[in-house]
Amino acid sequence: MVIKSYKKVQVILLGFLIFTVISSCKNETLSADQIIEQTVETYGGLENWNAMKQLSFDKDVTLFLEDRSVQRHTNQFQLFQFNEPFGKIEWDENEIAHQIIYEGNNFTKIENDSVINAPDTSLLVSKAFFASEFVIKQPFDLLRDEVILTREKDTLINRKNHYVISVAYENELPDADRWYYVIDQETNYIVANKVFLTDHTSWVENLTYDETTDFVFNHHRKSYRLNEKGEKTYLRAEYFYTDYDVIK
Amino acid sequence: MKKISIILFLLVGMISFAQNKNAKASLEVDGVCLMCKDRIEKAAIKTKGVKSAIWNVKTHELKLIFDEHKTDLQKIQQNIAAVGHDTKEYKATEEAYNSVHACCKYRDEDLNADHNDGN
Repeated sequence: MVIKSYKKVQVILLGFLIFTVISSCKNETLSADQIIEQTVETYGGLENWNAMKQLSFDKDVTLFLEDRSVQRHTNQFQLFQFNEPFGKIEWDENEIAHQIIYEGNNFTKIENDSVINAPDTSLLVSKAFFASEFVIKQPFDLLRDEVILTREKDTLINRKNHYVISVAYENELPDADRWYYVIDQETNYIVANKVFLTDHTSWVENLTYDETTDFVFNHHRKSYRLNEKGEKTYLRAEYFYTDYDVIK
Repeated sequence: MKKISIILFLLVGMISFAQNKNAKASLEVDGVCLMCKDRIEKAAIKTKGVKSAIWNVKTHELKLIFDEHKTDLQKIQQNIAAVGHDTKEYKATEEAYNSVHACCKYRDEDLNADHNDGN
């Protein structure tokens, strides 16, 4: 009786060992492109994404200073159309109704129904718009031809293995931001980004997700500044994304 | 006096609460073709608070989703009229109407008939 039970345990252990070896081998052989393809599939699929005409959502942003005080808080409405160059970002701040409208590769900044023509705002406006669009298009935009994906060494977060993918772009400038994607090997969800910018490094955690549409979108994100050792120094920003609406 | 203040306060609160963040409405907007569709939808969606605007070429119905805290149907109709398209409540000025492309002259009955015939 005891021998029979011992054999059973041995078989179970052997099975578990084989399963672990096979799954770890599978994880090791996956290329960066395959990992991102898996994630894109989990997030709703590229075909589904490409069929989308318009995406809109509310984005609540709080920026913090190193002493934990609030530097800025805004609640934005963002809308992007993908079959033509059109989009808009709207928010109220200091009793001024702000609007950025992107149409046919031109930006218009409107404050309380008046167009602002100052040339120095144009660059800031375009940067703000494209930064928002860049974030919301992930991970789908990573499958474009000009994106160079590289698989880096896996990392452990909360005792779970995560893929790390670095992203570069063909013909990018030497001082371009460098993005790393940290992906949960079980769920294929992007759990964090490490972003190297010219003057600082950020660690952005995706804490919760929105699955009210056909897609997986971020719901709650926190962005930390890192020191040279890669340690968190302070919470720089907190984001809440809500009220996603997809039009196909 | 105190009672009146409380009632007023509650009333204002109720009115603001009743305003819908994703209000749905539809409007009749004059136009004839796909160029009109693009112009009408763009004019509507550029209005602060408008989240979705889809105009039907055949029925002339503009379906809208908008945040009632930020805009209303009057403002949306004004913006549509400003780019040359009439609504039930707002007629485009001659100047605005003349700015639309020749193929979009929806007030021209012959052109309207041509579009309806599928030409």
